[in-house]
Amino acid sequence: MGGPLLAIRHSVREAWEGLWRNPALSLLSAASIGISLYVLGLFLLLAFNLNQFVETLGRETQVQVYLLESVTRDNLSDLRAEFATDPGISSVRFVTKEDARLRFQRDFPSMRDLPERVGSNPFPASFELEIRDAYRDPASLDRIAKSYEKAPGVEEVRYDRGWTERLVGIVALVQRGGYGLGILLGFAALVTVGAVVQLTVLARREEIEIMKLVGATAAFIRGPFLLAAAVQGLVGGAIAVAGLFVTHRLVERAEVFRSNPFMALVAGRFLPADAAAMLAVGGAALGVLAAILSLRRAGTF
Amino acid sequence: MIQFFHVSRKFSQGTLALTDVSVHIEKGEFVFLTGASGAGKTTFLKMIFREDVPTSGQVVVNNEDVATMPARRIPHLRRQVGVVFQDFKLLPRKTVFENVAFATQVIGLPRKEQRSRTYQVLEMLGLNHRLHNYPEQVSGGEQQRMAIARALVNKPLILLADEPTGNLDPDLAKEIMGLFKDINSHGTTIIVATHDRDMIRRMSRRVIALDHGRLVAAAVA
Repeated sequence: MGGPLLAIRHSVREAWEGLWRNPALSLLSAASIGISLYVLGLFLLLAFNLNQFVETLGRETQVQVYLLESVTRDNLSDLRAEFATDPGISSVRFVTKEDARLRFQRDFPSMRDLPERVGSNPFPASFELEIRDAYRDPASLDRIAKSYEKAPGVEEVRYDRGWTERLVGIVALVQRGGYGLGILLGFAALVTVGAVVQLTVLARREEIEIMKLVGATAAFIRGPFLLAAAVQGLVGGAIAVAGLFVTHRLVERAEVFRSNPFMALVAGRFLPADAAAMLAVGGAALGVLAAILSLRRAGTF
Repeated sequence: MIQFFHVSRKFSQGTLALTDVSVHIEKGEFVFLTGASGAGKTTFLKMIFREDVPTSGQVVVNNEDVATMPARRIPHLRRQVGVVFQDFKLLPRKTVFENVAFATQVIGLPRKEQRSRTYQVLEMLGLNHRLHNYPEQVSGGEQQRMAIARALVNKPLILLADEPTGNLDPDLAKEIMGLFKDINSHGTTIIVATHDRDMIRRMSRRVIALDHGRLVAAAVA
């Protein structure tokens, strides 16, 4: 067996022995990495599902043209004629005041007696305009909305894009928050894993000193520490992914998520396989980085 | 084999461990390094295996300037230099066999060769009946021989021994010196740091004497 192969075998054996020499410390390292990746993963999961939700909304973009109480038949037919010639509109649906009231009562059953309490039907009639895919960008939607705002009989024009964009902003915020908190906890994990590596180096300082004096190469000395830290990180990453999966399943089954369609969308899907794998690999990388920094500090690098 | 050119070593607190030392040790030579405690013997030895570097001057070992060699070359230098430390530096959790085999393992020798070399050197040093004992289970003399075995197992060109008989009774000390003579007769360059004047007289070899870091004599005793 040649030198490099022997060195690899030595690293594997020593790393394995090192991991089991003090299982509590090994577990502490893995857990600290696991916790930081779990929190990061939670934010990623939320951002991922919100993103999916935003995409779903994007596909259903509609523009609502709310009409005045005083709208006339002529106004309605003029509007219909304009809609028919607008290249951005694929279809038009007219919602009467009565339709709007019924829809409200269906969507918000707890407030179904609101129209009666108000005394009259407060909901305006409207046109719902389906927008063609090519016109769903903010500028086109804005143009469509503006071109009907001042039309006779129109009270207000609204489109979903406004709050879709706000949601996109929320997704970005969630992602940024996740990254920020992930970096903070990742730093804490670095410190913990680094301290564990340093303790191990300290416990084996005699051995390391003799290794250096009899001519061991730096790679031979560091190899076991780096490998052990990588394994701890990988285990931490796997713990994080498993924790996220369990959390996701629990949330999915919770009553509040099953009964609320919006929440169901938010908690909809688990992370894609490559993102989950990246978390585990990220754990290993975090472990190795901590070991390198710590070995450097201990003068072993 | 080993050349010191105007070597000085000043520690950060201002102490001068060596001052302008120039000396040449031939291949296959057996040299005593002597002087009172604090004369600079250990610093002198440390420079040969690059555990310390001169503040000024040059240390050349086997045609290579030790002070300026890149860090990655240091393991190669140390494989050519076996060191017997004053405090032995044995690993208490490893057996006699493991302590010696450890030196062969860290330089990446094949497993079969690790074992055969270790058995061979332990037999030569009369430790083959102690293979599975731990350092604390063997005598001071045996611990000393373990340290020598570990220094020899990688077949170094140079053997350095820092006060190798300091803790031993006279008979045992004589035995160890006999061993060094034997090793030297096979071509290994040996430097023994000691302040045991009787032993130096008995062996009649070249002596490098240091006093407060200065070379005061480099002649046959």
